[in-house]
Amino acid sequence: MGAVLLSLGACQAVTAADFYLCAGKTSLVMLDGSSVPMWGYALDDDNDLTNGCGNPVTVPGPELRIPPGDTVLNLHLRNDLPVPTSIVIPGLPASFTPVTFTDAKGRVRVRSFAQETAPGAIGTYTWNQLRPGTHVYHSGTHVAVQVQMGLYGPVIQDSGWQEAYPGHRYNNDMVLFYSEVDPALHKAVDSGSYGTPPGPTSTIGYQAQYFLINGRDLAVHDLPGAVAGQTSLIRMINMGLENHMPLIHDAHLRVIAEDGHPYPYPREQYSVMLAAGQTRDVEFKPTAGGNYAMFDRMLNLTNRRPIGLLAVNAAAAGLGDTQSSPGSLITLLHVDDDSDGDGVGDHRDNCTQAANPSQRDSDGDGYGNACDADLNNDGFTNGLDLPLLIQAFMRRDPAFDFNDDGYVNGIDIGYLGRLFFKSPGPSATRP
Amino acid sequence: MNIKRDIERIRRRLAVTLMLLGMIASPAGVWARIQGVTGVQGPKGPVFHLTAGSFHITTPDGHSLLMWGYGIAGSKTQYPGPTLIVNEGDQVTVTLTNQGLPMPVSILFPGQHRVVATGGSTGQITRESTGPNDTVTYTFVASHPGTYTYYSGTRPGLQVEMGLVGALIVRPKAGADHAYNDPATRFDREYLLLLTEVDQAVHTQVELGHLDQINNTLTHSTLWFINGRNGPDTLYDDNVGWMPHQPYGALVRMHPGEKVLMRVIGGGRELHPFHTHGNNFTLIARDGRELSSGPGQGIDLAVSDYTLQVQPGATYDAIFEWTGEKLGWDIYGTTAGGRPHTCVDNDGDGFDETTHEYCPDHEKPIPVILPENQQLTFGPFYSGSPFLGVLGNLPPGEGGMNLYGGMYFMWHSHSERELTNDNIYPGGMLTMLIVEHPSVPIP
Repeated sequence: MGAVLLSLGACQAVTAADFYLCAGKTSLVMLDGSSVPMWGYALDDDNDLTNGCGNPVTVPGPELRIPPGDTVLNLHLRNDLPVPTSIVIPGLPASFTPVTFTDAKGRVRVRSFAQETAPGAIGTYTWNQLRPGTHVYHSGTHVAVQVQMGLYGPVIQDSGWQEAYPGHRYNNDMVLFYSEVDPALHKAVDSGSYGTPPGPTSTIGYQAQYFLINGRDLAVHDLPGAVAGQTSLIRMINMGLENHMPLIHDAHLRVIAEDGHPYPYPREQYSVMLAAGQTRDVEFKPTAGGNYAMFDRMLNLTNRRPIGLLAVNAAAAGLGDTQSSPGSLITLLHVDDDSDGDGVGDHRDNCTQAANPSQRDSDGDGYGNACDADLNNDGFTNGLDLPLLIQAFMRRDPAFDFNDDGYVNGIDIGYLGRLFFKSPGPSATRP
Repeated sequence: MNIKRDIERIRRRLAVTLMLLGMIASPAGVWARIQGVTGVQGPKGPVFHLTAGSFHITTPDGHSLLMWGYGIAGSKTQYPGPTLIVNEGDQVTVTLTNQGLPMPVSILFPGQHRVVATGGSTGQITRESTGPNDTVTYTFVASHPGTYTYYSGTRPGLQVEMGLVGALIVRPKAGADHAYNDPATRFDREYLLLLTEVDQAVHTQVELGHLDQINNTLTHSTLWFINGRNGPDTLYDDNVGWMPHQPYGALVRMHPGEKVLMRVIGGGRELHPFHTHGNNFTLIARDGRELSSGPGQGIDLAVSDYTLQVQPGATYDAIFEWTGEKLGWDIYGTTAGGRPHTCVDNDGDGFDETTHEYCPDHEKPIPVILPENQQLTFGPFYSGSPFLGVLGNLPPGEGGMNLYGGMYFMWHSHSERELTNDNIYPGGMLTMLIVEHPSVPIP
């Protein structure tokens, strides 16, 4: 992350983004209580991979944000797995050396799309033709097995500040990352029994039993951040082996890009086909606040049916779908109303009834300046506050500049007049 | 031989009579509607009182399946649910009462914005009806024309599989013969093609009451449906008595030159590649929105295709046309072949004004030597002649399904596995398009 900040600070001089990752083991506790071994990535805490990563391994791996304008990406990988691995990014050109092996029948076969990093070793993967978009990084080694183990994550580059692609600005963005788990396959791969009978020797028997969104099989996935009237960019990614079909209710979406390539024209749809391995960028511009339900219309909405004691546990835990399998795997997009239309949702607006995009709160009391003329903080706007304002008159003091126009002037006295004898606020951030 | 010739002569006269009748019965501007319900008129707009209940259907392979479905209150519940037809701008009210399903039930209307649910009981996604005395009401403004779907928002993985899905059509202000307000979306006929699939094991488990034995991750479909029927039941009329809970047929009929609007809905959980024989279709809309590069640009992004990837939950509008253009032979036969007729193109569009024959191909013979009947194997849809509106000689007992000498084209899932009913071919997701002679009345 340090390198990112470095390149942000001097993006004319340094155009390379460097990320330091560890590939390692972790496990996920599913809704039915069972624990499944997973492989994933961790982001290093000190950019020194020789001492490990310091952060826990996650599935999906950490979200990598390449600063706009950077032209080179270096992924430094420490391999804490018992087998060789590597990293590829579909859609971004790179000069990698495939690794082959000779099988029992004497055939030379490809095992890895990119040069491998051996267990315990550190490798570097470089892309020097970056292109803005929502991409994924994932293992390029024994892909059929390693990717479904969880070795995947989002890698994102915007074309500009809050601009996904030229002409596609957004106010906020979020990642919706679909994947699945076949626990039998995971156990076999993790224990090393995969590939040798009686263990599975291929993924032909793959049967997804758990469906994950952003790495979890929660009954309800809360996705906050959207604000009425604003454009949220939903970056949809599917790294499962099956197709998924996010479908939103009560709204239409605008699909603007696929696999990091913008469409010539946005597509207005409420359903989005998300094929295995695919990314789609979707604009969501809700007109009103509330909860917008989205779910996979391929109806992969419940995990496997719990068996034996697990079933009892699942029912006792009051899980969403107690009569069947645990989980409903619904995504609720929480859309905040924006009463004053300043682009800041009511639930985090420090002046919910006064438009203040800057959210300036000079006295730090949780009331934004635009609704806080109580300059002496005695609880009311009154005659004691007026002299304080007059002292600052015609100065450039943001603490008294209620409307943020750069000067303390007559307009600000007008603010004080309107707020006279009133308490500051209302504010959603009043501590 | 003389008897045969007489029969042929009678048939020709009949065809001419039918042509005249057809021209009287089908003045310009008359178009065939999709069978559906328009509700009762409430103070604010149309009101639909729906129930949800269970029933059995019999599939062509002999299975009896327990289904759950929506129905109009006071009528039978059905598969798929009743097609709700409203007009652009209507404030629509839909009430739902659960009549005996063993769990709550609800309705979602994807593509409708700001649906308000009141009454009933709290549910995870929307409000639900838990029983006969617990009615939930949904209201929304049908603000945009188009083809939409509705389905249960309660345990959808199970309830959509069980049959709780239907179609919603919003007719545009431009008129009921338009799909959208753009003039290019005008049509002569429209057909609903709602595609679903069934895993019989789930239905058996529900019937046995083993609701907690159902494993959603192991569903494996074995039956495929268009409008709630498997082929060949798809070819029967609407509302036939022996399929009391499957009122909607899927047989598509048209005259040459007509525009047929296909309203296609992915009602199940799987992808279905829906393939039209006969011609390409032009896809004009997806999810109730025209394929357009922007306001005022019309359907400038419409695309021609012959296989529609029907995605679950999504809806599609496509215009299908068939004219025989550039086949290279006269679809009505030639004078030399004993079928004299004219081709009059007054407006210069290349087609006859009445028969819609493609005049550049007028009098061109069919470029094959027609084999003798002894060399043919017959299907029930063969009229005995390759020419439109002609009933040729057939051996005794052959043919019989093609009453008007129409041209049959199969419309079906291009996933051939889905052309079966539990592994028995033919069946499943297939229906027929019949291009009928212009004189043949089509309801």
